Amino acid sequence: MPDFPGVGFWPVKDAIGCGTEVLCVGERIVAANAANASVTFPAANRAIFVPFVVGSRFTAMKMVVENTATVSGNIDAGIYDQSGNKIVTMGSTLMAGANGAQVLDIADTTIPPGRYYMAFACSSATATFSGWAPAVGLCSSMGVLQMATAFALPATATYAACTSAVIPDFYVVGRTLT
Amino acid sequence: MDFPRANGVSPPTIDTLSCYSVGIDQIPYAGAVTPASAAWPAANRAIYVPVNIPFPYLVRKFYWCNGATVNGNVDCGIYSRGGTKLASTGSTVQAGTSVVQSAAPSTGSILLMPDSYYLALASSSGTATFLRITPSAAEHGVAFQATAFALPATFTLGTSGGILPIFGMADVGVI
Repeated sequence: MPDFPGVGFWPVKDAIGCGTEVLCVGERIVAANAANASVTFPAANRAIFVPFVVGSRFTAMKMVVENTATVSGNIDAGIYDQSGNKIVTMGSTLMAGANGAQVLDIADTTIPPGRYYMAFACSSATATFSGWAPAVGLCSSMGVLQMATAFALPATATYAACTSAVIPDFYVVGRTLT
Repeated sequence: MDFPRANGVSPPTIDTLSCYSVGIDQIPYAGAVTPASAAWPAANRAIYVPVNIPFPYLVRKFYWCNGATVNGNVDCGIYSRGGTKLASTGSTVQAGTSVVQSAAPSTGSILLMPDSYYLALASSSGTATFLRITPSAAEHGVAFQATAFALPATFTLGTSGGILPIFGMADVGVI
């Protein structure tokens, strides 16, 4: 048993997204003064991996992405571990519904405390989403990674440095168990 | 003794905009400031930025955000609260415009225990550019040192110049 059994050093959230502070990269988006706006997905079939942490067991139940005006192609979203192993993904899903949230009902998956990557991929380079476009280089500094030719999301991701300046607004919804 | 709050939970990168450093703290004073490429304030100057980490953290790389013009050499590292250099990249040629550049600590990875530290960045060139914000950063413990390239074994903190370069450390190999 730990000497410091610890209650909630890490915030407990029912939803964790790119804009979540502390658990994800939200505070750095804010500090970089990157306004939320409609962004075009940077390249067809690219996957974007955004790091997040959970301090207690978390059951991921849904992934959500905020579509904006241009609906095009298919999307996929999921969760990966630090080594690039797929934990859960939705699978290729037709992008649908302009200017609103699109909910992806992934298989309920419980993950223990640790660091993970939220993954989002799109087959189209014209699809638009709510998101942020921080200064070039800042995505890498936040720990955001990417993989080319990664649609639908693969069983194993090969992480590469992020070359784009786009972070789509997507998030994982669940409930905490402890 | 178990590591306090270890859990194996920590972000892959920690930099000057992180919640563990001063990035957010400057916003209530002047609002959020958009980062921009700007020249280093003076050749051989070092900038020290407080960082407080509540978990053990294995530093595999230091990194900094280059601006539109690269020139000279860079040294990036970490100091104890008391001013002792714990690790740095050593003098490294600045390379690659408008990208994150990273390098491993010259002595290999270093494990930091939960504590307060200073991230440090120095440039040999006054024309080299870096991505930075220009808040009133002095209030948050950011400090300068002249004639501090390569990063010295111990630092002497001077006044801040009101700039906050974006640089940090990572426990992952890919940045």
